[in-house]
Amino acid sequence: MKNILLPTDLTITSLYPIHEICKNAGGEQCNIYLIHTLDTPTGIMDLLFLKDRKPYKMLSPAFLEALEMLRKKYASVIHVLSFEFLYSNSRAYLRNYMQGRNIQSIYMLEDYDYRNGLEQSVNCISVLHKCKLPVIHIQKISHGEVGTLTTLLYKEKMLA
Amino acid sequence: MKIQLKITLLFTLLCLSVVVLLSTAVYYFANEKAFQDFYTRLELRAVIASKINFDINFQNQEAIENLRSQHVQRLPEEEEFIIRTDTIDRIRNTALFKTAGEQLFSDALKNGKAVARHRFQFFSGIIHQAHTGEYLIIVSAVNSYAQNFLLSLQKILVTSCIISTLVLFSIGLLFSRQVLFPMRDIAKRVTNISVTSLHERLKVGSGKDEITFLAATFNDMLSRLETAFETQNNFVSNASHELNTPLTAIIGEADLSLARQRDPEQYRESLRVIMSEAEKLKAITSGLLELAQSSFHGTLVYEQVSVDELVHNSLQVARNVYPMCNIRLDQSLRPEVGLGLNVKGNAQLFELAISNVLMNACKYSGEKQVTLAVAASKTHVIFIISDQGIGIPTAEIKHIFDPFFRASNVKNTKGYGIGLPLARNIVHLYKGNIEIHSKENAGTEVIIKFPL
Repeated sequence: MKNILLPTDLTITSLYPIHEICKNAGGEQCNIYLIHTLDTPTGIMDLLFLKDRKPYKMLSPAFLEALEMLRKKYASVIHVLSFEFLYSNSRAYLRNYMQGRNIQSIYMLEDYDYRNGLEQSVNCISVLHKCKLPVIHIQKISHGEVGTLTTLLYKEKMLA
Repeated sequence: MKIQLKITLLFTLLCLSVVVLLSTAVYYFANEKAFQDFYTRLELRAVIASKINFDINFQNQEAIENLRSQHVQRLPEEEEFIIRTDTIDRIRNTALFKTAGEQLFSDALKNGKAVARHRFQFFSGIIHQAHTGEYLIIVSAVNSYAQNFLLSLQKILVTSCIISTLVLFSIGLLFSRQVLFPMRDIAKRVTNISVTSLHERLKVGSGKDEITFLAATFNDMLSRLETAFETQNNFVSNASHELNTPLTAIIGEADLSLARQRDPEQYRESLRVIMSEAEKLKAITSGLLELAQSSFHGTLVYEQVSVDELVHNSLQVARNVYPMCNIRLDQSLRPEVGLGLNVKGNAQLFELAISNVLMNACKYSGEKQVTLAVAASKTHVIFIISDQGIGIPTAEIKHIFDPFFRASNVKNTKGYGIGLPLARNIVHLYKGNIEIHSKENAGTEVIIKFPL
């Protein structure tokens, strides 16, 4: 069983590495943990009224639908495809999180600008590079697509 | 009855019932509890009477009697009754027994003392043990103070009830007028909006109250009406324009060939032109017919349609019409369910919708690649059709589903603006969803979702 971490900026494009993860699984099942890091609340009011479910309601239906499609597409390969908001982007916290889930490698898109999906999002890409785990960069073959779901279509290197 | 009057009456009735209830309670408790001290005064008089009449230690009873008549104020209609307890049965028919009530006698015998009241006549009785036997001493008097007090209380309460009714009704009237003011305002402004002034909107306040919501809903409805009117107008002008062009060509061609005698070759040429223009006309009218049929909401056919077959047939149709088109079938999101991917609906209509969108993609992307992909979520089968063609200007995307609408950058391509509205009608007919994303000169993506 492979355990993979995949950071996402809540766009459909950032789900693209799932294709590669499943291709590289080599017949093995895998657990894919999607994460998006949010800023740790510091104000007392923020902490008092911290509702864990709140950011989940802000996920776009298109993003959730795309996740659903990939889950259907790789039903035999994907054992767990989970999505979580993490309230910190500190190295210690992320390492602890990955140790807890026995993560073997981190996948991310190369030359891709991971944007801040929500108001309170923070970028975790540079921190993930310092976590001493193999980071696999996926080259996304872009054709200058427009639209949303088109960016998720997988293109073999030879076809491109 | 007007709502304003209803609100006023309801308000008055509610407040008045509270006022009446309060007044009744005040009167009741004043009547019951406010005169306890009068019983004490009567009891004192009963004790004095027992001392005077029975106490043998009082030698000078006459002197005490004088003292009492001089210094203790006589109460209105004050009376004293001294009855031997064993003779009580004999007085059962007297006025005293009837007015004071049997309760007084039995309570006094049981507890040693008792009080009773008949309207404003108060009674107080005590038992006195004399050496000649047991006596019941009853003192009765009329409490004229209580009588006056309660009468004036009654007057005050009734008067204040009547006055408060008037006050409440006027306040209610003002209040309901205030509450309904925004409604009347909305009604007044809505009456000013007619077919010619559909662009006008109601003023929406900044609050989150129901009235603001109502105004916003009205504005939404106006926007939809305006769009519908505009679409209708566009449809008529576009349709007449589209039908007019080939007709003008036919008439012009016929006119020209009839102007003078021509040789058979020229006639044949004219007829060919007329024929091709007539075919255009036919294409437009059959397109219109399909459009009209697709928005028909009668009984719908629901059968299991194989997605693979649907994709195959749509591709076939598009490739037949545009043999040069480079269509790629993308399987990278196709779920792993083997042959089992089905969708409920009418195969012909679904095919028509998908092939129309595909043909559009082919038409506007030259020889660049067009991709058709299939995916599935929990609830929908999703068809993704994307091209890298000329795209649609952002400002025109919202009109793209209007019949006969053609984007401003398609002047060099033949078309009637029927395909997309047709596809949209079919998708909506089967409770699906169609989305379009586009960037000018970069490409277009159409996502069609049919419920599983």
